[in-house]
Amino acid sequence: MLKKNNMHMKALGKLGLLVIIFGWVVFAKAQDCYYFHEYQCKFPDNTYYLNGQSRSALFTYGMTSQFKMVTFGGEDYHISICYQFKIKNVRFRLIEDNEDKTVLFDNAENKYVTEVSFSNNVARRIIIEISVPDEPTAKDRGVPQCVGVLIHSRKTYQEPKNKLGF
Amino acid sequence: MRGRIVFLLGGLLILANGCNNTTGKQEAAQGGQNDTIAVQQEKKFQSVYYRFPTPNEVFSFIKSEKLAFDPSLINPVSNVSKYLDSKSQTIALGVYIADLAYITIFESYNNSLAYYKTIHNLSEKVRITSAYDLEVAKRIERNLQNLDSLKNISVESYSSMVEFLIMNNRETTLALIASGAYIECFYIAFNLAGKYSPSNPLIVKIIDLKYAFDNLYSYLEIYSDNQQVKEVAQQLKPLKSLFDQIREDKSSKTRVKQDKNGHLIFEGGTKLQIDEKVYNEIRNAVFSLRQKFI
Repeated sequence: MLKKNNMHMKALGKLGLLVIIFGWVVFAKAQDCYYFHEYQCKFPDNTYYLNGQSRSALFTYGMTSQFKMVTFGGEDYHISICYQFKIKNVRFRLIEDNEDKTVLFDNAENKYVTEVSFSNNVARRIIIEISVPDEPTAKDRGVPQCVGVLIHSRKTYQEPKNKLGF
Repeated sequence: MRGRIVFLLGGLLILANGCNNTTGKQEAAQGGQNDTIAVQQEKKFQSVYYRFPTPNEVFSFIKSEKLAFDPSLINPVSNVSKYLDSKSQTIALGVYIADLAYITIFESYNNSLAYYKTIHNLSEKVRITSAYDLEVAKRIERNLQNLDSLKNISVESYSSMVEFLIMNNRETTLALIASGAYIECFYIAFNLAGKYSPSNPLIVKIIDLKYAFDNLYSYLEIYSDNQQVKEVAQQLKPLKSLFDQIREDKSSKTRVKQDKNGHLIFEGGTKLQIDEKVYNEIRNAVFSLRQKFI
């Protein structure tokens, strides 16, 4: 009788473990990219403030997506990207959102760096374009993964005008 | 007993397998989606999202040493009882969020707690529970003399609300909140700027907010299958048409320079210019919309 109860206890223990594992898998799958950019992307020095236009999104291999942000004149911006993909060549470009679509920055021409800072003299609409290259042999191909874009800004530092005396 | 356990285990396995099948289906669909993406890659882009500066960023941008806080410009907290339906409550939430941003950026901290609590009450009414909570209100009480902390609380709360709404597929709510907030930002900014003068630096900054408004309007259009968003987009349409009348001087091309530290400098590019007539028309349109919103 005691042996039978022990067997039941073991079976219940295994069941409990299975429920926990199952629950964890479901929970993990349900996770979105909530605050991914704030946890994973590189922060600039503390002269910058977090900019509310930062965001994260789900990407798959071979996908390109863009978002349009607004920058003000007389301000500096620091933009960093971060991603869960195991590759290192996720491309990000800054494109001025005008008729010319001027490419302001392309990390493919800068060793696929994940951050850039710039000063801006006039207000501009800027497109941030993220491209994850296709990897036909990647084991996680087809699995959506997070990409974050973290934006910080500050007022551009103005050199004080030389003034004689106190 | 053993039968029950076997049954439960079996049920869990079937359930797990079902999920695997779903994943399998998703992968198959994603395989197909990848083909579609390949086609879309040729068209270049799969999707576009619109972002626009927060009310805190708008007020930080327009703030200068010469501008002082004017309490008559914010929507009194006593008005909160007027907002009875969900649309007017959501828009009013945006209005009060902009007021709190104005209060914190212009450092009128005595008003901050009352506005924070009003925002908390309205956000509960429109079922936004993760931001602007009463624990944070206690932090405000403790930090009334700490300017940086209060600014951070305001920024963090707004950011937390935006994340909550996006992650819960409630971008339509965000569209309404942002509309209320932007009209309040414009209302305060135009009042601070006063009458038109081409040399007024604040007017130059207000004009630069055109791009932010353009992005907000595009955002509204994306979600205008929602009736409330559609109605607000229709209300804002005349203002959008007026902003489109701001002249764009394209005589200077954008140039990109780099300093010795690798920091980029974007120079030149389109400059926005406004004449007195368009300035007054935009100002009047903003005042009229604000009247409707509050």
